[in-house]
Amino acid sequence: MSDRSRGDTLVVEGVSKRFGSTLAVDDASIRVTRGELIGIAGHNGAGKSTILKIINGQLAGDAGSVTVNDVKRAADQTVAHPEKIGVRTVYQELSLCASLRVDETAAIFDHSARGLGWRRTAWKNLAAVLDDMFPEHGIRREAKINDLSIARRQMIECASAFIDSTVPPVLVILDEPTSSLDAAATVGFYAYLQRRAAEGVSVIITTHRLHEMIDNLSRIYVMRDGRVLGEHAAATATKDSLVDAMGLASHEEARTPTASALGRETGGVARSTSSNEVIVRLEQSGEDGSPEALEVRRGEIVGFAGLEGHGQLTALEAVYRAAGRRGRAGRNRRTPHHSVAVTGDAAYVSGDRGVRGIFPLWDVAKNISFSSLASVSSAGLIRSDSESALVGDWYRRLGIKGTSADPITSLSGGTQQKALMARAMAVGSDLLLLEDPTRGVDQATKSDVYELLRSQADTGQTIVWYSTENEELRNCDRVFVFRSGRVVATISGSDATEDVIIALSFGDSTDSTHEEELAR
Amino acid sequence: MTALDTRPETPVRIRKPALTVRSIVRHPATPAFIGMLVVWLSIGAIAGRGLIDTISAGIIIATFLVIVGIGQLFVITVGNGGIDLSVSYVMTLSAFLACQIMAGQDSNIVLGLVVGVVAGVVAGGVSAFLIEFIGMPPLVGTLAVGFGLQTITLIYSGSVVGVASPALSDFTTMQIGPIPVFGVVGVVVAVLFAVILKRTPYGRRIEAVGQKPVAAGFGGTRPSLIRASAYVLSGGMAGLAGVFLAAYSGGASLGLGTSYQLASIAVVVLGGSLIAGGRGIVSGLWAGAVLLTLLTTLANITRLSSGWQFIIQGALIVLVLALSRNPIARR
Repeated sequence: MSDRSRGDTLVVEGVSKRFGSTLAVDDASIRVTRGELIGIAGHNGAGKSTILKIINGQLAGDAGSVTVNDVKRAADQTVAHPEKIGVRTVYQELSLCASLRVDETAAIFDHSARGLGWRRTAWKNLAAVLDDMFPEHGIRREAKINDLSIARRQMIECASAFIDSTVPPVLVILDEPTSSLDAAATVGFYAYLQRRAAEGVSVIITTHRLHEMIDNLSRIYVMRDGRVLGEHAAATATKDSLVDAMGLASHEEARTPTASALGRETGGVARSTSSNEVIVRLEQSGEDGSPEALEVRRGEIVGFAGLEGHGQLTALEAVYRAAGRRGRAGRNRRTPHHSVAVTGDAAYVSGDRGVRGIFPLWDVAKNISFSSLASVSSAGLIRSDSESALVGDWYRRLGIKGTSADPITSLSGGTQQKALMARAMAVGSDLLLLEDPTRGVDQATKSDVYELLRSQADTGQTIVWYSTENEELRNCDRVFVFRSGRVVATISGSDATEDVIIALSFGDSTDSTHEEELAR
Repeated sequence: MTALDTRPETPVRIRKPALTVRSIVRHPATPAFIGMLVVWLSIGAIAGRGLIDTISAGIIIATFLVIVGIGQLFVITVGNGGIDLSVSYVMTLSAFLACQIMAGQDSNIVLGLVVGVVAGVVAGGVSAFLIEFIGMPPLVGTLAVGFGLQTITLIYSGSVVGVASPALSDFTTMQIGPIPVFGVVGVVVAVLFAVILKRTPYGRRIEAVGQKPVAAGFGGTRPSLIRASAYVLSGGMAGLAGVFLAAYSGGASLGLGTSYQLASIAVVVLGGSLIAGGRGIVSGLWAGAVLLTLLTTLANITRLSSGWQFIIQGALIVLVLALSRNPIARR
């Protein structure tokens, strides 16, 4: 028994996979022992998702073998029901059925929920994991998936991978599991993984949040261009060593957070004194009940931070609805906690690409030009030369690979996100609203995005940015921290460290409105 | 401006989809065109009738279906379960209204057409209101409007005897040489709306809302207004088709529009548009309308019993739909 428990849960040997002219995975070998948490790092398109799909048997490889729990199979064999051999997978693009209730969804993953009372059984099993993983998840069993925030949908996916069901999980594959989770939920999630690992469950994680891998896993494989370049012990790895191994161009390394934060501080001060035009005005009642106003000025980058579900998203969407259309004045909007007024028009980028972003039947070009149709039309007709010029321009500025006639769904998640940024920026609006825009995007693309946002702000565009990733809020001029629907603190971007934001978002006390927010 | 611009120029290929054999074969409208050709040639082979006569009669009669079908196509393409079951009732009511106004006088043609179209637009507006603001499912909302219209028509038609203007009747059957004028109208209308759907901002919004209404909303569009506009358009098109059909058949009758209720939906799907919305193919709709029309001709000339006629029609429609199920169309 003890011999088995120290054995290998997964051995991948010499797996290759070719898509057309691209060698997506090239002679890759990976080993995961029982009860081990390992990571796979690499840029978008490095082959991470492909190798994970070969491991769980969804995709047939071209060569090599995969051994799960001492059962060996050739990599070119697919597995119809990986859950029957204890392999579970959570994909980056969330895949829950939108119109089902939470307990019904749970029953899809949970084969033990059968017969009368199947909903109750499924919910009981899911809730046990959810409560353990995310003690403050606030998910109700009768809620419809459609009505849940992306973070809660992600929580359900993560939790459902660990339900015992008829065959308990042996190997759980998680592709960007924390991309929509806030800091507190992420901590709880990894703590849960550690507990399950102690019981013998093995886990493979890919995430672009490198520090999470370093802090929580034992080993990290680095992939580049389809090859596994080597493994790093998490104990000795640093973010820089991983980034080096992943192969960033030298200009990326120059942009260390401290250097850019310092450069911005001076720039930010200069800008805020030179321009005083108020673009966004949020009014809320202060601690003592008297009204207080928060203002965002032209050319500023303001972050909305806080724990998930504390009103940041509500406020951001209210700002979008309050903004005018091109050439027309906006109207004031009310949320339960704020009164919002906006001068000028707005464009919106969401990190929830599947639902709020892409048009899946179209090519990239139509996806990018969608919000700027008026500017590429003359006499009511879309001019294809103007449209290609616009799209070509943004392809260059954002460094998007491939051709604009590719279907949008053929791109990796990060590249799709770039196309969506291009759609919003091409509008040239006064205000750019970002809803977790770097969700599931690699470090290099993130750096590109940060730089792009800075240059947009320098040209006078105002940016309001909601993020679940506290680390990237350092790229803001100011950060509004939300708690229980209200802005409880305003800090400058250079002060916005993870610790400060977490401390502020928990605050001293939670009042009753917190519950109300969670219940929504 | 930034470091982004000083980066080595990445080659950007803005490739237009080339018109290759492969792209034609894979085009969603292709099965409808093939089906149309097959039925057309079979009629020639079986009946020994002139192919030109067959097709020119076919595209005249198909034009009514093309006009109603285009409205239906916009409603279906705009998504959210969009479907317009009121078109047949709109056609009948508009036919009666226009015939009463024209009363056999050529001077009243324009007024008759306008009233017919306006009646359809109003009906479409009511459907849009029920669906977008009251929140009724399109299936129920448009059927409710349709039943309302049917009642109005029943009461109103008892007191009216109208005749379409002779000039409009002649127009629908006129031929210049071998070319049927009204058939050309059908082609022109199809081209016009294909351009509207594919090359105007409005058409892009229709398809975008049909794919992802939430994404379209965040992209600067009001999905409910776009959807509402499709119902209004559909009503107007149905009204127009009703007036023309009355002129062609010599006057209005209570059963005038009945067969168009489901045929208008069938031609949209036959033409390769997605029934779930997001992609509309107007060229395919035109071919589908001609296909359905010729199919009726074929069934008639074979002198088979009506049971066999329906079986053959059904089998051919199933065949075309099976062919058009390419992997891209399968969502």
